[in-house]
Amino acid sequence: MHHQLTSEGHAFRLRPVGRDDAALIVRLRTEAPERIRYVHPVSPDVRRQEEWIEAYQERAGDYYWVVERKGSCAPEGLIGLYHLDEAALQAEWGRWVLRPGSLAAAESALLLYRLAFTALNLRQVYCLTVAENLPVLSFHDTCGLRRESVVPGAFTLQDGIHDAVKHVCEVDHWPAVEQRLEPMARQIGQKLMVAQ
Amino acid sequence: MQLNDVESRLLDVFEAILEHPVSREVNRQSDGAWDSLRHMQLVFAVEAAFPVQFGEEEIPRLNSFRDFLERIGDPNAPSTHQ
Repeated sequence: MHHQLTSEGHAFRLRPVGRDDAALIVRLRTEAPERIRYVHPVSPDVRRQEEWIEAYQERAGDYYWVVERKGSCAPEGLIGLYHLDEAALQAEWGRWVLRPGSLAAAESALLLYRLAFTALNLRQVYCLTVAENLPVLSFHDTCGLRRESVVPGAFTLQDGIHDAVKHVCEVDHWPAVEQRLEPMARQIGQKLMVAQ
Repeated sequence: MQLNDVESRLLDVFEAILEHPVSREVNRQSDGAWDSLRHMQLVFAVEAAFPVQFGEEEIPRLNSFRDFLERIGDPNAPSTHQ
């Protein structure tokens, strides 16, 4: 949807995806097959991605951001919050892809949760991860999210149908998650500041 | 095989971060607990325990116990840390 929600951390910021980001999205979501093995495939056609972005901008309850480096504004990846249920005050987060070697994982997740719980005042954020995607399952565990359930056949990917693991973060638990992510984001920010 | 002091201390760091016993053969691909958050925890814990600083470009390439060990054993190795 059209929105102006941004969030800035120690080293990275989230800014809304725009039509001009179509080529970036195609690049991030089609290069390095091993890295994108567990995300929904997208067309390599930039024009079709532009059309997808135009449709997304008209869709309520769907927020899509570019993760970029503060200072240089160099893109690091993508992250989204969607399927927003205004009655239940909950949404799903995903579309999370970072360039190979990016150190933005902790802070991009932190900024996403911050927007969800403080800007959008949600009560719950959940994410569905392909059950075989062990590094991302572990990431959510390490962040302190609760594994709620296994959702059979939740993902249809290029190699077939996959179950998903649903992780949940309720607003009451968000401070504990923030307490794990914020110090790490700060340390990474300090390291990257020194490296600039 | 006898572990030297550096290896032993490095294993302690790994086990503290990954929260389970590990061997010298542990690597990022085979250990399901070694996620991107724990990877950075490892980087900072190793920097705190040993006289080494990792540069931004080399951090993603530290993919095994041996990678860390080699880097600690060669403190003069070129780092991308500016």
